[in-house]
Amino acid sequence: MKPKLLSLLLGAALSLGLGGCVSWNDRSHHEASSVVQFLYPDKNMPFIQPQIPTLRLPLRVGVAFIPASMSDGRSGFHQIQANFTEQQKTELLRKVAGQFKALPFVQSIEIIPTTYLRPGGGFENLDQLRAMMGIDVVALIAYDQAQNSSDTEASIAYWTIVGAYIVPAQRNSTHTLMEAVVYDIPSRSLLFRAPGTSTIQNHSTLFRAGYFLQEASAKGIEDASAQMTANLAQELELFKVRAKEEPQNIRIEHKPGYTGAGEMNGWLAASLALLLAGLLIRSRQ
Amino acid sequence: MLLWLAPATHAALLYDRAAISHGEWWRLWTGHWVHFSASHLFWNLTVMLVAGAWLEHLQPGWLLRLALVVAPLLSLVLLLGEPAMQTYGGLSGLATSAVVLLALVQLHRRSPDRAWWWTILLLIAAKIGVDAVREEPLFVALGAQAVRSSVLVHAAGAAAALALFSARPIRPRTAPDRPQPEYPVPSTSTNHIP
Repeated sequence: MKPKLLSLLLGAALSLGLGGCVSWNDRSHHEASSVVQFLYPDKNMPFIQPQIPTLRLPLRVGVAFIPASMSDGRSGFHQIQANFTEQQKTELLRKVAGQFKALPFVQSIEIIPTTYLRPGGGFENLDQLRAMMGIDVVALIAYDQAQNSSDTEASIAYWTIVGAYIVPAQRNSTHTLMEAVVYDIPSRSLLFRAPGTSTIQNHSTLFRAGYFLQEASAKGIEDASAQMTANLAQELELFKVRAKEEPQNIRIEHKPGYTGAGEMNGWLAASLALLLAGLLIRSRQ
Repeated sequence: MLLWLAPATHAALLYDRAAISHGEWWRLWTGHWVHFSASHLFWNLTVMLVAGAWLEHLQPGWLLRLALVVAPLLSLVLLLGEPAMQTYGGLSGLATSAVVLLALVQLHRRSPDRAWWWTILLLIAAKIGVDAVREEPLFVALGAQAVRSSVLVHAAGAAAALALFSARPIRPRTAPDRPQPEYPVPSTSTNHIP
């Protein structure tokens, strides 16, 4: 009787342990910085009504990362460290700044250090930056990355211990969203936004799951950033057209001190030159 | 051309509102000859050379009048009409003047290509009209410089040409048909520009 009880207890303990192992293999991680949480941190405050933006050209533009407000991996699970390094952030900020620099109506670009923005700083924080750095428009970059690693049916091989090292029974997924939102600070109005997304799915062994997820995190950020910068270029072109064609939605003024040019459009100058040359030849005949 | 090739002189010759108000009057004349890029210079100079040379051939002395009288007038118009414009450069105001003046002279001389000269005048009027109604709100890049194209200077250039044409007698054609007469024409000295 005694050996039977002992084997039952051992069996129960083993089942519990293995059951724990199975749930222990599920990993998830979510890291995000939200534009809404940064600009509208207090839900009780009334919504700030944006006005029609008045852009005074040439513009001074600031580019900044919204600080991550939380990192909420579910407690009790292994957290996967986000792979979005400061170096990557700086590189992305430079790329975004480069897109704006190509615009002739942008006078200067300021890359704003992340430490200048407070989590949930709102428009008050942006007003401070405006006063401190003399910027009119700010491009805020936010990101959201969710990672998940779960067992597949093949994870039964983990019972053999060796299976955890050689059987790729973990299904990993990484979803990344990057977004650049461009605000006119004085009017509190959103000028345009440019998103970039990436989804990476793969399988790995239990032992290598952490490594794969870290790699996917970096790749996801890279892919989403590239898509975002490409979309940003398109949005900037569309914005230039909108600024010309929708004066009721975007007012344009010129700051005192701009440079003017007596410039003939290429097509007008070419037409005039051709017409005059043709008439000159006719008159000589 | 030389002003573009010697960018070091730009600062001293550019139309600069503040400098003009401090007594640097030469900028009223020289600002029109400063350009910000090779393409800026090329298009302006192409039109100016063709129209100016023909105008000078028909009405000797008028090109000099444009350079001496119309250039500072255009600058004064910019001083009054574009108070936010700090600096300015470019020959297109004068080039517009030269083309309009040439067209008016040709029409007055009953050129057989009158339809084409009207076309040129209409083209310039349409360009000024469209630019004035749909004024380009954004800046354009000329070389390394971000500048705003001035509509006012083109309108003022065309108006100055009209004024100059109205104020001065025109040397008529000596023969109605081609070929063009050789100059000077002694028989029409009374109508000749002094």
